[in-house]
Amino acid sequence: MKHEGRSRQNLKVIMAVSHNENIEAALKSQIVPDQEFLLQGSVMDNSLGVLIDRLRGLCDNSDVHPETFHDHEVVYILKDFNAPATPGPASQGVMLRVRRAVDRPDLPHQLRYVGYPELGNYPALLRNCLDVPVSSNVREFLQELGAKLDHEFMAKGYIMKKGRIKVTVFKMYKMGPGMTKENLEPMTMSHLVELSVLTTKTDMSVADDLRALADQLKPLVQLERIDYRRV
Amino acid sequence: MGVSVLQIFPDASRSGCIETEKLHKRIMNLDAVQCGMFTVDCDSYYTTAQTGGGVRKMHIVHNTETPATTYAILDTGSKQVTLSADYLFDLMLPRLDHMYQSKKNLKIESKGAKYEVGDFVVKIGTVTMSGHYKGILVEVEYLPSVTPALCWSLMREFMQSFMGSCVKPTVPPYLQNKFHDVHTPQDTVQQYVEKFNEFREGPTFTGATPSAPSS
Amino acid sequence: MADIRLEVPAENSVLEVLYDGSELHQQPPSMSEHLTQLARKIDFATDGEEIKEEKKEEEEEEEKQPFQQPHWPLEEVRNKIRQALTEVSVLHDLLAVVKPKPPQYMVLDPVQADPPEPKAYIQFLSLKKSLQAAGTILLNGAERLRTSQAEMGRPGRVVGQDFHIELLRLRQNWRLKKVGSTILGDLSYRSAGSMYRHSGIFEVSKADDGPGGPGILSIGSGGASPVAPQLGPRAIQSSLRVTVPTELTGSAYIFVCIKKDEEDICSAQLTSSDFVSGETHWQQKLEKAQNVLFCKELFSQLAREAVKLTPSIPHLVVGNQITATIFPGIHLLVGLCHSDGKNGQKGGSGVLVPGNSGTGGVVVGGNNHGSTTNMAPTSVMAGASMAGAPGVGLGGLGPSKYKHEHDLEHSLHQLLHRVYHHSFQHPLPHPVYAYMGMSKRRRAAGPEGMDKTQLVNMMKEQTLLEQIIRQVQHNFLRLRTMYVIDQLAAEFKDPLIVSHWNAFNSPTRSCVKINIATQGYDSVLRTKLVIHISERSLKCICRDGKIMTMSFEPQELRNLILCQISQHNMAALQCLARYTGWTVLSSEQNVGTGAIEPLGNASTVMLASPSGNKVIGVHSGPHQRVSVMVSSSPRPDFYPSTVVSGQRWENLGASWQEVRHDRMEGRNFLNKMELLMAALTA
Repeated sequence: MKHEGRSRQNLKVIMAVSHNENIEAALKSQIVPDQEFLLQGSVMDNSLGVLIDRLRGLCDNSDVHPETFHDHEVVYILKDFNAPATPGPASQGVMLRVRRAVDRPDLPHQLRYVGYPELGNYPALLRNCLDVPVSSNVREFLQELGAKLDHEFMAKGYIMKKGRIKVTVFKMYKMGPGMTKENLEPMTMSHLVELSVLTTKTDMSVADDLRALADQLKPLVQLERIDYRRV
Repeated sequence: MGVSVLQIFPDASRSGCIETEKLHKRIMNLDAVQCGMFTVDCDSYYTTAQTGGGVRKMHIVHNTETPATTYAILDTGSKQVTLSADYLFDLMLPRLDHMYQSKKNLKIESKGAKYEVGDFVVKIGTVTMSGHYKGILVEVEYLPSVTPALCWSLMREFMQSFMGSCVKPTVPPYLQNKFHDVHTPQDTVQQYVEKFNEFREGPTFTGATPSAPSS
Repeated sequence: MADIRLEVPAENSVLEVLYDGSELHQQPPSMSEHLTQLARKIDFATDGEEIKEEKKEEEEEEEKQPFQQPHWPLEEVRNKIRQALTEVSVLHDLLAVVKPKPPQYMVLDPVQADPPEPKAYIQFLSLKKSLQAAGTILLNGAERLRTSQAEMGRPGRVVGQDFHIELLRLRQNWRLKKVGSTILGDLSYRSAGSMYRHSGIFEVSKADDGPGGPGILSIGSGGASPVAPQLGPRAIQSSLRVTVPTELTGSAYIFVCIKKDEEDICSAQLTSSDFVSGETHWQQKLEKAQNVLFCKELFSQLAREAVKLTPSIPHLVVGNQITATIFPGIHLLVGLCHSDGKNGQKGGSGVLVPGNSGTGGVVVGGNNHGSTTNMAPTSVMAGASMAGAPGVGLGGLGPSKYKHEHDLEHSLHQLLHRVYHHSFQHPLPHPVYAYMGMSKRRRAAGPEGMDKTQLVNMMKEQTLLEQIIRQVQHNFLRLRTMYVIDQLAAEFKDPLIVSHWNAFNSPTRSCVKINIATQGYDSVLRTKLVIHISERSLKCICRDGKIMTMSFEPQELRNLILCQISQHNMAALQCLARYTGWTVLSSEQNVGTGAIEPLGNASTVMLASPSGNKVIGVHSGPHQRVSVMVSSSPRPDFYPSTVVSGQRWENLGASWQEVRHDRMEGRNFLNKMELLMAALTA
């Protein structure tokens, strides 16, 4: 309940911030929820049902069936492709992700920037994360901006929530020519499980809730902070 | 949301204040009701690297009429793409600074009073670029219609009624291209960018002080 | 403070002190000399025979080269390192010999340390202590088992009344947690989305450790027991007892009514409802307490909103009552009725006091505050009359004058439930990257470029009170409309007014279809109209597509229907004329001549008989009775005069003669007209 209230507060911040100056002020006082805690794990397809049942018990709104989603994600890299490759973060560019809901075409596309994981001893992976609802011509925009398509995939699965925590269980599918909505080629024999929560720079307490939820899913799923730079 | 047309009001005296005052008087004679203020501001970002062909520009526009939206207009020279995004997009811009950097001295805005005359909304804006007065920009919006073709002549007549002969009888080129399309908030903002670019290239009235919007 | 310098006492050793006292210092050694000096100090072998050996070697070496300076500065170091290497090699060899398994030549034995002296006494003591502890635990357990066995074995104990089984059942329906040695439960709706501050905690305890003592248990063990006839109602005695906070005991409900008069805006209400008697089953007790909590939350929410809202006629919040004006002279009264279950007087005084209108007619329960008679709480009316108010007691006044609107109370409950529901049912984000909790429309606002007004509308939320007021307004308007239509239907038998109420309606919108038809002539013409009833206005859609919007005043609707009746008569007459072969000469909806109607316009119709020799004229207005005239041609009384000489002028219609159709035969207007036409044609 407490979290519910807090998330609504954050939401109000988003709602209230209505102009440029205000958003800068909000940034300064660090109330924009742009930090994401993330835990990831995977579950084999044959145990998916058990996991979903367990999650239904743990998450909010257990009275209704978990909502499904079907998203299409396209990942772009924005960097100066003509510049000579020099070591350092500058030449790596910025990864921009565009997602659209295939099953809900009326909803706006989402543009996402994800930063590198923060160093430090956090209970979950902490990274800067920014999501912006954008109009549907975002792919054209990014291409004209100078970004190049890196890869794309489909994600299909379930989404649930517990307080402020977003729980997604999904499988990734390859994209390619001749792939229709019904005929998708899965990448793996397992489902990816992600627990994530958005928070502000000043409010780190929610990570413990995330950890607690993750612990309750043991041993079905081992949720860990996975640092991609070490993989 | 109706159809919007932008018109630069010539300011021979280059003082701003006198001309806006004149427009204010004229519009009040048409039984206008003043209803608040408006601001449209535009920041321009240029590509930092010169290696990749021509310079690409990105204009970031905010309109107080649509407070939840940030418009990003990309101008590659040959093509214009307008992205309308949530205003959280502003937070994304610092992430792109390895490619695009803001030209602070090109920050331009139009600010002024807003009037309602029946179905028309008139916004008389004073354009300033980094503090220097540049001219007067009038936006006229006709609410009941969304297609320029259906209401252009009506709007022209209305505009001529208080701005006089500076309103050309021909359709502005921007509207001409989208004469039969549905007018969107993006179109309004694109017209602003077009006019702002004209102002940027035009002469600066350094002598005049930036005038306060008439109210 | 004096400076204290830290210095090396003498930089270099003194070589010689001259007679004059000055010292001759040795020159500082060069770098290599210094290193040699230091290296010389290193001793790689420090113990054992090796040293002796080494010394021997050294001696030998020294013997060989007695007073010789080393060849080069690090020679000594080299020698020592060489020795060290030798030693390490030896050690390595030794280990190599020992290592192979099974050992062949050499075995390593651990060095035995001296075992500590055993202290038998202390050991014994600690052993005794731990045994004792284990013993007590076992004994305790056995004792507990024995008592529980004894309880189980008690005669007459109904299966299922065991404390733990009851607790299990309680646990299935209520949230419980254990704090320390007590078990606490949660009554609140917080887990369902409520934001009310009340903790709503109840305590669960075993019945037999209460003040009642274990005696109750044995007595309550069965109604069959002859010793407990006076405890009949307690026949089913639970072994579990719940203690709810005192402010949640008793029963409560939200009283909703619509009042017409303005005099006593504030008056206390209490109708006797089922009070909880002292001992009820915990399930009912908890349900009641939860209901009390719910009502309290609902009321406090409404009161908060009533204070916050600023309508043109402000809402009145007095004590436990909220009064809101819904229409001029019509008020909505919402009250919280809470009666303490244990003591009726307490409930009466605590809850009913506020809002004494001072008219004297309404007696507040506070009058019997002082009385300590342990009267049944259902007799508030009796209590009031006992306090001396003649005739008008609360209980008597309440039900007759103010009708409790059960459906509105239900709507209020529903509204709060909906608030709960919304606080939990946030739409999930799609695509999943989107922010949680942001509504779909808010997410679309940016990309779609929504303007200020749209955004503001999106944020607008109606308060509970506003919603209930709208519902009440609609409810009231619906009833009023119903009443007006029914009145008219009863008033007018010709034509008949039939109304069909749509079964599908919403709390703020309903719809009625009205058919106006003449009995026996239904197929001739039916005038249909539909009335949409919303909160403060009515919208009437007529058959010809005319739409009329009316306010909440009943007279407007009445006028409209009267006009429709008048028009129906005229239109029906024209249809009838078609069947009978009469010709419609003229028909006018709005005549400008004749007496002025108070409302609307009169209409006329002129009909000519098939042969054309008779003409009927009908004049009808919404508020006037229908008048029928007849004229015939050739006129029977035509006499050529000096002015009009030609015989042909007799074909002009004769002067109009009114038909007293109320005296005519026939069931209704159309029937009479049919007969009239028949008579004139014949």
